[in-house]
Amino acid sequence: MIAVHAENLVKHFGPFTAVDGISFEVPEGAIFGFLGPNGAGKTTTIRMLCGLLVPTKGRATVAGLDLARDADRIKERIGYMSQRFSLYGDLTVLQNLQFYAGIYRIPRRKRPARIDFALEIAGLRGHEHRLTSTLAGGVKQRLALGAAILHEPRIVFLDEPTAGVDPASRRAFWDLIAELRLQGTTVFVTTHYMDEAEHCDRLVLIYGGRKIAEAPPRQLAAEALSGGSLFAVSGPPSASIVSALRGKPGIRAAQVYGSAARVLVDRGPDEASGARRIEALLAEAGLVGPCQVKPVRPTLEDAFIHLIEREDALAADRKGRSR
Amino acid sequence: MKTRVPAIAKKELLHILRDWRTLAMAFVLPLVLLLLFGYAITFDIRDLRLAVADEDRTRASRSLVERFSASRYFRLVAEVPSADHLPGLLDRGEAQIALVVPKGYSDRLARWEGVAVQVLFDGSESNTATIASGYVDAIFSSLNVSYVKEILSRRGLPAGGLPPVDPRVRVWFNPELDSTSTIVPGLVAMIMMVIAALLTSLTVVREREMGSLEGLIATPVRKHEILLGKMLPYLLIALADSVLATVVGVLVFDVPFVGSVALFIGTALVFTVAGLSIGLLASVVAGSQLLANQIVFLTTLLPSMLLSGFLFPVKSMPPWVQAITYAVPARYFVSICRGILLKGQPLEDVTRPALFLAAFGAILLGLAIARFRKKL
Repeated sequence: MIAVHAENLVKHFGPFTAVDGISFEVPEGAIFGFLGPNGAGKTTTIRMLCGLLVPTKGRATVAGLDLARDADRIKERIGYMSQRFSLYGDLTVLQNLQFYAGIYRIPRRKRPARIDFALEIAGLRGHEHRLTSTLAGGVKQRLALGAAILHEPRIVFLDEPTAGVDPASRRAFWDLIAELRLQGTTVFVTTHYMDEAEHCDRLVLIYGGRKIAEAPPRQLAAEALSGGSLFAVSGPPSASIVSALRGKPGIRAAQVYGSAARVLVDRGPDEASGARRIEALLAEAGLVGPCQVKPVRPTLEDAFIHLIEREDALAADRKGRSR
Repeated sequence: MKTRVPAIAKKELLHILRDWRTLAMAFVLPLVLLLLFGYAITFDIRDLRLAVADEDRTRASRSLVERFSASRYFRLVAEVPSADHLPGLLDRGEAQIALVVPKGYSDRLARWEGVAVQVLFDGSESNTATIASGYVDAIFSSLNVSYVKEILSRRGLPAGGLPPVDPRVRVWFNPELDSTSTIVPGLVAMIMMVIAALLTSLTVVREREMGSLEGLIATPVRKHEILLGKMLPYLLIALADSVLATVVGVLVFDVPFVGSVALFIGTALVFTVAGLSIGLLASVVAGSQLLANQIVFLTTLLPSMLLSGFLFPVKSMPPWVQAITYAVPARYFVSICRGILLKGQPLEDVTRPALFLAAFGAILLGLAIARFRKKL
């Protein structure tokens, strides 16, 4: 079963194109990650799917209903947690939950159990009467999640749920998401944290309003670098390593990555050939002294950065040709 | 299908109870405005500053001056020996009206020769001067009648038929022609219009600015449920406000309340819905709280003050301005308020303006719901 089906979604804001023809399918019961830098179009896409923005073009079905025709019925079947905290700060925890229970018309006999469940998720049992504005960031996010799933929606949309939240709270939040999936809820989540993307069953990378890759996270990392080998190069300052290698034949990409440089080279006959190529180029550039070149397993971040660079190159190419 | 209006209304009430400033504004502001305007706005001219140059200094001249100073409309502030001193007093504003009794006043009267008495007005406040000249005319005509009677009786003629035509004016509904009585009901209408619209003017746009609207419109809640739910608690507040303002008007300004209290509350309810709807509409269309406030002030305060008949009678406006007043809800409530409070008008007499008000409220509320988009 397909929980969300998006077909060529486009959103213009005046002259600005926020989302530029995105298509994807979200299988039911999956954690579906929407990964991309700020401004890539993640929030715009999620808002269109939740009926908060009207797509300029394209169509979508959500929870089996057509977005253009049945927005209000879709809203009964989904939960949405906005990037900006949207509960009422001047209401208590309990008042907020009671309000949303009323809005979702949860039957009175079910309300206490659902509200209790939301309190448990947020870890706020016994603190029901605290003013919501006084809660810590991570707790607020969990409370917002609790409110978004009060009515047991089939799909829950989470827009950067862990932005600005400390690492421990982020982990706790992802535990909740995993639990939701176990209960059969489809989770559509956007993030720009690479480590979080690994939790997803399926990942879409978006950049500049376009989808640039879609696969399960592990596969994505491998596929993105297909035909290349990745090395960590350290010793000389990483910035000078990068400038010595970038653009040279056989070097696909080079980036500063902490104290080392990450270098992607064309895969040679054996693993050592890539390392030798790098060492030769560094010597050519006059970077002498102790130098370490180690093969590394590509992370999602490597894949992402590589894909973005490739996309930028393609875009520049398109622009050049259209001139 | 169960409505979500109570859920929204309850939440809105919680906001209000948490935010004492809104509550304070809702109850204190109308009272402050009512007291300020109630005391400040009066069309009754009393204690006009009078300067007198009595150049005759006889019993007859003193009796003329006394007719002025004994009246509660004039207060004698200066007595000068000759008319030359008067222009200075008027220039400096020390006197608003000056009376010159010429030398020989008493002699000419006695000789039945007729005598001119000069009265000078400070016309820079034309309204005051107009009303004051009415008082002056009245004083002189009663003085003249009494002289004529005296002369006739001295000559042995019957003086009973004087003045030949004697108007007996009786003022109904406000026998003392106390302008406060007509102003205060209008004032209540004007203040309640502004307060009601102000109360709701922030409700939607505030949620938009705070970000909570994003969560709300992602739910299946309907547009009319949001707006009606938001209106409900404010309806109670605004209604309580109108009653409070009216009670203060009656107690502090001695405004009579001869009509039906229930009818007053019923019509106030209709009026309040119209006011609250203006606020909601402003809140729905405005992009910011500030803008919503400005829209409300512009669309309620000025029209309610100038075009409602509260200060200036609608009937004396040029026809095209009168046409505009039909679109000012305060106009209807001003006339309803005066009708019920001062005249004790029954339901039949206020049905027409009440229906206008109801239609007005319904259209504005419908417009607010139509213009409200469940989108970002």
